[in-house]
Amino acid sequence: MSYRPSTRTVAAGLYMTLCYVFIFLPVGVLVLFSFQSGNLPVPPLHGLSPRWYEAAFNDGRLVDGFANSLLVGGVSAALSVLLGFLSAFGLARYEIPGKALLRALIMLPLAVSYLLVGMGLLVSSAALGLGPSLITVIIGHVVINMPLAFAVCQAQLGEHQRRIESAARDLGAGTFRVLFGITAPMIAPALIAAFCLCFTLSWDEFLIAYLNTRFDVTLPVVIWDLLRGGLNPETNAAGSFIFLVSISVMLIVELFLLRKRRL
Amino acid sequence: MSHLVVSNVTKLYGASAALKDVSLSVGGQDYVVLLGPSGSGKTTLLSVIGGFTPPSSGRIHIAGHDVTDIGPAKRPTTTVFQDYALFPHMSVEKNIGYGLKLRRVPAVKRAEQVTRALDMVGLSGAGRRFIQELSGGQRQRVALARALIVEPEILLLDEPLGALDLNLRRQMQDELLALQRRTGRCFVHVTHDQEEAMALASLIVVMNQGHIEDAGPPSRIYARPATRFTANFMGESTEFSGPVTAPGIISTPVGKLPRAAAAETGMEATVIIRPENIRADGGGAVALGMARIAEAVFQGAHYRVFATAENGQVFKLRLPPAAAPKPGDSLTLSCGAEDLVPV
Repeated sequence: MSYRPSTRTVAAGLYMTLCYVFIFLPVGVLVLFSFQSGNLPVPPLHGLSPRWYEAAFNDGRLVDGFANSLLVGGVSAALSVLLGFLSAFGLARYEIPGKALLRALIMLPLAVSYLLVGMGLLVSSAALGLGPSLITVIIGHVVINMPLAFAVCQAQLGEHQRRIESAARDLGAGTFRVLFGITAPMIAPALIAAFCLCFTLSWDEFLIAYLNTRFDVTLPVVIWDLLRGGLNPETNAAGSFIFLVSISVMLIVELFLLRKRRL
Repeated sequence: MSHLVVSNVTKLYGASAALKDVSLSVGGQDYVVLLGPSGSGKTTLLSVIGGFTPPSSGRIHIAGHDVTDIGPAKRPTTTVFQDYALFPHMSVEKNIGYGLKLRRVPAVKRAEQVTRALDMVGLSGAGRRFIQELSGGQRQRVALARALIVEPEILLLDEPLGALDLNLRRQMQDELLALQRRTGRCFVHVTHDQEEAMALASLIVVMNQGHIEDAGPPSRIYARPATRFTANFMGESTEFSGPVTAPGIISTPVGKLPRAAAAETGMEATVIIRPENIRADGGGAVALGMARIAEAVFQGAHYRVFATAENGQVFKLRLPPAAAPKPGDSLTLSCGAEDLVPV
């Protein structure tokens, strides 16, 4: 018997397709016109060519921005994961007065707008006599991403893991050894996933980076500058490249989380 | 000389006491089983001995040294955890060798010892495998090897057989006993299963509500329990209660029975008897009267029989399969005087 979808199924399928088109059409258009052989990233499409990618990779500002973004993303993600892991371990394993309050304080930056974080940093770094720099951006990204890393780590540090740590102590391991020889490797998939999450969020982040940089700027800020100069397929190429990096990192996260679930 | 001495240990959690003034003395070759229902404090006691839980008061001595203030890392004890707590990111041999590595044993010597430990627990050749590839029984063996390789004075086992199926549990019981004899070390094992306790222990410690009810060799604990709680926890029995009418005699529904323990005349007292000690062949020295079978359940090696006397006294006893007891049959019951245990 052949399957005949009901009207409802067809309608639901159509609705779903429309949703996805709505979400992904802009991205598709962005990527498509990054291959534009003409001079404007708008229809009509004159033909496909990698020339704007060549232009982007030869554009000193974009390449510098790319390097700066890698630096900011890598350092801020590493710091976020380290601090998140240590604070999650401390709160999960020791009796500390005011635990709930501490936990809430750590999670609080998630609820604060990036604009406030960015302005706050700008004002405080100025008050301390430090100019805006990539270091300020890194600090800002740690502030917004550390709660995420903390939450991911906290979910991994249960009673079973506590007994495994006890077993290591029982065999003679000190706290430092337990932390970096047992706990961290044991939850390594989660740590890697947290790192990738923090990295992509930092990689995409514009507001804090824009407010707190002057001469060394990150990729989103460079693109913002390019856009102010008018539409140009080179911007599309740079945007597509950012998108490619982001989804690659997210795929890595998925792989690690999926592998974790199978264990 | 006593190898492990627990003196007046109390552990309080807020207002509730998990352990109340517990004292215990154990020899160096003993297989000790801490037995009790959940919430009896047996796991807390194990954790106090292992150094994971500091006692609120009291002292712990191991091999003559006061270890009360020493953490688990420096204590001469190792623990086999209920969920084995193996390191998931290490191979079997790395798991087993971990304690030696921390003791800075050179790699070559370590590898030799790990190989020997693997042989000892019957996992020869499995060293390179990962924990996720092992069955429950194999994980159990890795946990044992990992804990024993550092030659602890005392091996602590927290319900180690709880996660295994019945056949495997029996097999592991035999292996645990063999391992304990071969290593000549003191094992302290926590369980709530009294059959497991009797199969393994040289010393059973029955715990209830944070205190020790009874401690002794399994045969004594089973046949001559010191308290009513122990008697009930260790298995079925029939109880006879009544006032003490003369020194060493209590008057019960089935007649005057001898009671060895001293009790003042006029006080209520109880004696118990295990089912296998009630005789239906009329050969016992103490007559228990007539009873009618209410229920007989075939259990393979014997029938489990409930019988009721006319005055309402219920007897729980065992009859051989050859007797083919049926409900309604009449029995003449008796027992040996020494089988009536005062509780």
